[in-house]
Amino acid sequence: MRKGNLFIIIGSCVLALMLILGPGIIAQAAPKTIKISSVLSLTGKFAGMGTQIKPSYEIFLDKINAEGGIFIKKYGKKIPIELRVLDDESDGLKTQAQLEVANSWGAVANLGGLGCASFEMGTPIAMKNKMTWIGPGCGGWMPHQLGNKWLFSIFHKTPFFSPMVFEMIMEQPKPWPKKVAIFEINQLDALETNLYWQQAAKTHGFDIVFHKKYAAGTKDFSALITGAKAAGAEILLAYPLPPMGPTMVKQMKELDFSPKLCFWVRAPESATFGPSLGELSDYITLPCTWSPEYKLPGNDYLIEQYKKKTGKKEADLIVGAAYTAFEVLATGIEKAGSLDRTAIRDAVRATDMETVCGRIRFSDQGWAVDRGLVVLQWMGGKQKIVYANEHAKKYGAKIPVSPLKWQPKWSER
Amino acid sequence: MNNWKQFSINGGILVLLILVPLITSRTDVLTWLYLTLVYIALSQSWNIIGGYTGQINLGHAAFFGIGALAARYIWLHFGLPLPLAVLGGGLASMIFALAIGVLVFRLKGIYFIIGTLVLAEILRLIFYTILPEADVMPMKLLGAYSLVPRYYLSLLIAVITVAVVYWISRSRLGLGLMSIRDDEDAAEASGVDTQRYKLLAFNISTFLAGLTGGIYAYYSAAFRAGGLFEPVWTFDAVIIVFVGGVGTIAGPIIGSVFFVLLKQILSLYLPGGLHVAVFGVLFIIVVLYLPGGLIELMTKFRKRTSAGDQ
Repeated sequence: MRKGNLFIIIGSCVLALMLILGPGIIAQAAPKTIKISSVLSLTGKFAGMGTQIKPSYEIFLDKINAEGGIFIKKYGKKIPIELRVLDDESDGLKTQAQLEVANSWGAVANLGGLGCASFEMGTPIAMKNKMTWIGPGCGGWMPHQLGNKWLFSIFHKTPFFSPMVFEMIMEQPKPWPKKVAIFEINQLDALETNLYWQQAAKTHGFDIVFHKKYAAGTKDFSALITGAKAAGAEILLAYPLPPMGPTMVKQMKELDFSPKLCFWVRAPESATFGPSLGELSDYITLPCTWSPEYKLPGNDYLIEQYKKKTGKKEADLIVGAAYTAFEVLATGIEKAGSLDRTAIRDAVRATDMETVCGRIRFSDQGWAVDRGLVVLQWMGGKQKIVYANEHAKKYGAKIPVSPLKWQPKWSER
Repeated sequence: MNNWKQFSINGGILVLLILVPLITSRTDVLTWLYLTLVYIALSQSWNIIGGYTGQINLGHAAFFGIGALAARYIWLHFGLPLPLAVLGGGLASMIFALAIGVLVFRLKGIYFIIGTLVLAEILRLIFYTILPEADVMPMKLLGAYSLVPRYYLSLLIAVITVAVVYWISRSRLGLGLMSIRDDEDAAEASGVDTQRYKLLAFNISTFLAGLTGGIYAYYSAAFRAGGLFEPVWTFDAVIIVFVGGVGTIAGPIIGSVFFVLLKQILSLYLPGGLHVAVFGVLFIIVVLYLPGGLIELMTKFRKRTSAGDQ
């Protein structure tokens, strides 16, 4: 080995160790701040989700820090929050590495992002490091069944939001569309959803006339669309990832496939879905945990601040869930009365509070119990609430429901 | 530099790396160093077939993925000891390479590149389809999870990989491989059994990639099977080799340090996804101005220093 090469290796190692060990040498004094991390997808395929979540967290951060922070009984005073946002680049491996950064930094808890990659990959690391992970999460039911006691998700879960489409249809005046097509993507929560869709369709007397799988990354849906069209499908159930949703809509238009109802999960929640499609996004429906139309206490403030912070005309759809996650965590930290991670975890588990999203309580597995859920419909660049489940209905006019509109033929739009 | 001095410096670096877990318990530091070592092993394994033999294998992820899956199943699902599982990962990759090697090496040039790329893509789609759910480590194991043994295992595999490449570069086999890289027809005419040498290089390379997959299986708290075959595992290794210095021993080591640590540090201090752009620009600068990799930078520097001394 040449001398120069050896110098490079030694230099690189020493530089790397100095850079990474340096910050750790600085000893922590009394907690001047409460350290909370947030590992989010700010770049990559889930960036459309992360860029909604980050400002939502920051709005709550500004609000609580303006009040002096969180009162911690152990120290007898309010301590401000220090939020460190880390980008996982929509990559599960990076999520894991960034959670280790958060752990070493001394975060007492982590505010999570949205999407299977970060959720499935990240939450085991949170458990390993004994750090509460709370956030919108993903729709997946399975991660809650693995015995992870550090995981809390306020998002909707597959067993609850999947049957809503049929319940919503049966609230409409007859005749109801009955023929169902399912485009199934190979992803955890999508597989679960598909299972619950099939069960609910059978229970409620709907016919599945077309059901095909497709791989993540698919760009050509013509075989699925023409198949569903030929089968006479009137309801299209799908779980497209954010980049695939607009592609699917455009190809449906090109192939003149217009089922009466499109109930899609995931892609229509993305901040880029409406803007990238314009009028083509009209009539698409999706399940959600929150809407800018909610009139619950705190929403006016949240929506106003979000518009101010992002310059957008409307608040995006994950904003409420993200804000709620931080609100629940902050309340849990205050109830814990200390910055001990286990005490915080136990306090969060005992949550029972009203939020901008409605009432939040957690099961022993960390999913939100009796969650108020709604179905939204894209129309003119906005999303109208067209169905509320039994828990959301309890709020009456505070969650205003508009009539569902069946999707007309493309030629009639 | 004499052998003793070289041995001392290399030994010093190794001792320093062995001491890291005793100096710090920071999980981020151990994770970054672990990833650096994994990338050293993965890129060195690619360097054997791509750098020394000149066969641009863009399906390296396939062998990493097979190694990882085999090791995970042997360790967690069949309950065999970890060393056997990691070794099993390497062997599984090598057996797969043996099975396809004869066919793959019938392809030459761009067809070989496309063939290997397609191979990994097929496996990626198959595993995303048949194993769609994340493979999460059992909670009992997660409760007792420690990065320290993972770090030491990755250090061991990285050292083995570097040692193998060092041996190849100084062996008759290495000479044969380099002759194939420089001119395959001329090598054949000179009596080198090119097909046998290429197969041998392919098997060593894939065995080491499989071992690397094995240590990833031991480390990863959760992964999706299809994700192990993502092209990123190939392209990261290729980028590292070219950034560091293709066909050299030190190149992949320097490339891995640059790739993992710099990327990570940039992501911590540059907001809003800017780190991706900055890293991209740095990468372009290296490729444009240092076609021989970062190794070339040091060589130029050394020459300039020597000229100045005279």
